[in-house]
Parts: sequence; structure tokens; C-alpha cells
Amino acid sequence: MKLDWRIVLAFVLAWYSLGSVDGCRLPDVLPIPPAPQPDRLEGKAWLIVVEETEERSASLAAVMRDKGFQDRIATDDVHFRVYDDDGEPGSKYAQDLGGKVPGYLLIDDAGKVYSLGELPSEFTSEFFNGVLREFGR
Amino acid sequence: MTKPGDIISTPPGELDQIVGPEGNLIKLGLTDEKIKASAVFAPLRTKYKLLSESEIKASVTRSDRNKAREIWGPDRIKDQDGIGACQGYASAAAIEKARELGGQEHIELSGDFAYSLVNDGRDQGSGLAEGFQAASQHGYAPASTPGLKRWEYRKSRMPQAAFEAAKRFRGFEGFYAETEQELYTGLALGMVGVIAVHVAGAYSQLDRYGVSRGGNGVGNHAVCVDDLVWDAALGKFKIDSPNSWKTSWGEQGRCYYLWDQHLRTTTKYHKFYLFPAATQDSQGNNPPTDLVMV
Repeated sequence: MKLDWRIVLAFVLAWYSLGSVDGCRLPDVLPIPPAPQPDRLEGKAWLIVVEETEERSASLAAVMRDKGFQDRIATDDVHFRVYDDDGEPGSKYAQDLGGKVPGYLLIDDAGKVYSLGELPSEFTSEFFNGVLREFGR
Repeated sequence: MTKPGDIISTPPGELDQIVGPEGNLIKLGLTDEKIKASAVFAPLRTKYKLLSESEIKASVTRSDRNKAREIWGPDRIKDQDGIGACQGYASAAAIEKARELGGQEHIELSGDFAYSLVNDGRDQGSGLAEGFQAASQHGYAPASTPGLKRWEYRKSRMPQAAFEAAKRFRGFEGFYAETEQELYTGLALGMVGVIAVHVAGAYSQLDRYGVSRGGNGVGNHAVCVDDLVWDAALGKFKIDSPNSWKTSWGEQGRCYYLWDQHLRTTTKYHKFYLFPAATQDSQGNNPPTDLVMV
């Protein structure tokens, strides 16, 4: 079916006329839906890193020895764990990550996954702080 | 008249002793390895890409990486008292820290129990490889195990509860290192290790960089190593080591070693051991494994 340009023009004019006086604002009757807010992670949480130990990066080695970060999350009842993807339970978590190792999972104590993903090649504990902040931690 | 730091030589077949900082005598209990290190672990170089000097320096000087002395304070310095249990104490310290770096809680492991597994019931020292072999079979008993007595070194006197409890702590991944680059790579990647040093001369005196004034030798003492530090003033890497002679020794129980000064000779007689991770304690505080994706 061929679209008549006059019909299209009429529709556009009608659309703008429903908005503000200057005709630039979208009409209130068609609000933009708000972006979904991530769930807040309440209570005990686990920040799990799965690595191939034999390919450990300097970044992960530093995070494991970043006392300020480790103390801060421990105070907030977030428990940090590093597992090798060849052992247990690391291989199970590696499957959950779809094999994207090194990767991380943020879960609650019931096992609900709030965030997961691959780790960048270079990172600091600020990367994990960002993930935690997204869920109110 | 002896003074702290003096070495007391003994007849062949007996362990030399050092006068500890409080005048106590401490046996130097590291003996030759009776089995090959390869019977227990693989060499680090076959599993890891060894780092260059610049990569090692970049890793250990990162601003977000705390020094071992900031992570583990003087309260973590062990005390082997006078017995020749250095291997047991050093390896227990290393496995404790490997656990903690992976996020597991601190549980003090018994150096006495580890030593008892390999000394045939006599306080005659032990080698590193057989110590790790026995520990991988039996595990490390928590120091808090009921019935476990401090400085008891005889296996026959160990409570059955210690053998049961130790089963939870027998899983650890380890490698051995034979070169400076291997040892530094492991430490730069956050591993904790056990090395052989030679206690002689002014070993207990530290220079202004915190480095032991002792020298090279065949190796008669095992110590834990938990960090590699770049000392810009010295222009060298220093290996940080908590000893097991209480905090009154060294700098609150610690000192630094330099490869050329302390390890170049001992590594010809002993392998060094590195631990990137320890297996999860089945009875520990562990995360759920059945995950719910949303």
C-alpha cells in the first residue's frame, strides 16, 4: 500500500497540536516510560570472581590485596570470593557465566543473581564498587 | 656467653640452634628434601607465563595493592618456640594466607600438626617437599582443635579430632619455583610461598632497609614469604617474610630477603613453593551454588 504524504502530514500536525503551545513538546498523554530501576540487593551478598588461576592478572592480584576495598565490602556484609574455574565450586559458576572467564557474579544469599559479566583486561576495585553501587551497596 | 642471634653448632646429625631474641634456643629444622618436589607440584614456569622485570615492578607498585605488612599485622607472627618445626609453621602460614586472599575467613592452622606428619616422632627437622606431600594427604589442622597442644611435635600424640579437622584443609594448589623470575612472578601475582633461607652469621640483624644481614648457604630454615616489594632507594626487589620466632625478632617478627644475598645458594638445595589458591573449606561460610537468573 502506498502512503499518501498528505495523510502523514496531517498526522504529524495533529501530533504536535496535542503538545505545548510551541508544538515542540511531546504530548503528556504519551509519557516516556521510566527506565527500570535495578533491584536493591538487601542483606548478605556475595561478590564472586571466577578466574583461570594460571592466567591471573595483575589487576585481580591487586584487588585481592586491596585492604581498603576488602574491609569496606566486608563491613557491608558483602563477601568476596575468588575461585578457579577448574575446581569446585568455580566450574559451576563458570557455567553460570557462560564460560566468560575471568568473570564476576553478584548474588544474594539465596542465590539470586543481580549482576554478572566478564572482567575487563585492566581494572581496579573501583570496577566492583561500581557494580555494587548499582544495587545500593 | 651467648647472646641473641648467635648460632650454636651441634655435632653432625643434630640440628644447629640459634639464640632467639629472648635468649631462648631455637632449632634450625629445615633438612634436605627426601623426595623430589615434582612428586608434589608442577614447576611454576610450565603453567604460568613468567613476567618480565618491568611487569613485575608494575604489578607490585600498583597504588591499589596493599603491602603484606598492611594486610597481616604483628598479631599474625607465629612462634615455633624452640622446636625445629619451621617447615610446619611456614607452610601453615602460607596456606592460611592463600585461603584469605581468596576471600575465606582467617583460621589459624597448626604448624605443630603439620610438622608432626613428617618428623617420625622426633624433633629432628623436616624437608619442604615431604611436608607438602603429607599436608596434601592429611591437611592442616586448625590450631583451635580440641586436644591439640602447642609445640607437641609427635604424631602419636595428636588427637584424632585433629586428623578429622585437617581433612577440611588439605586442598591447595601449589607450584614450585627454582629461579628468581619464577619466584617474583608468583609473588607479583599475589601468591604466598615458602622458601629456604640459611641462618648464619648476622642473620638476626637487619640493615636500614629491613634486610637480614645473613648470607647464603645450603639452607637450614624455612620461612613463609607473602610479598614482593620494590625498594626504590635500594634499587632492588625485596622479598617480605614473616618469620616464626615471635614479634620480638626482626621488625615485629619480619624481615626482607634479597635474591642475590640470601637465596641464590639455597635455591640450589631446596625448591621454593608458591600457592595461588586454597580449596574451599566445605564447612566454611560459602556462597550458594544453585543460582537463580532473573
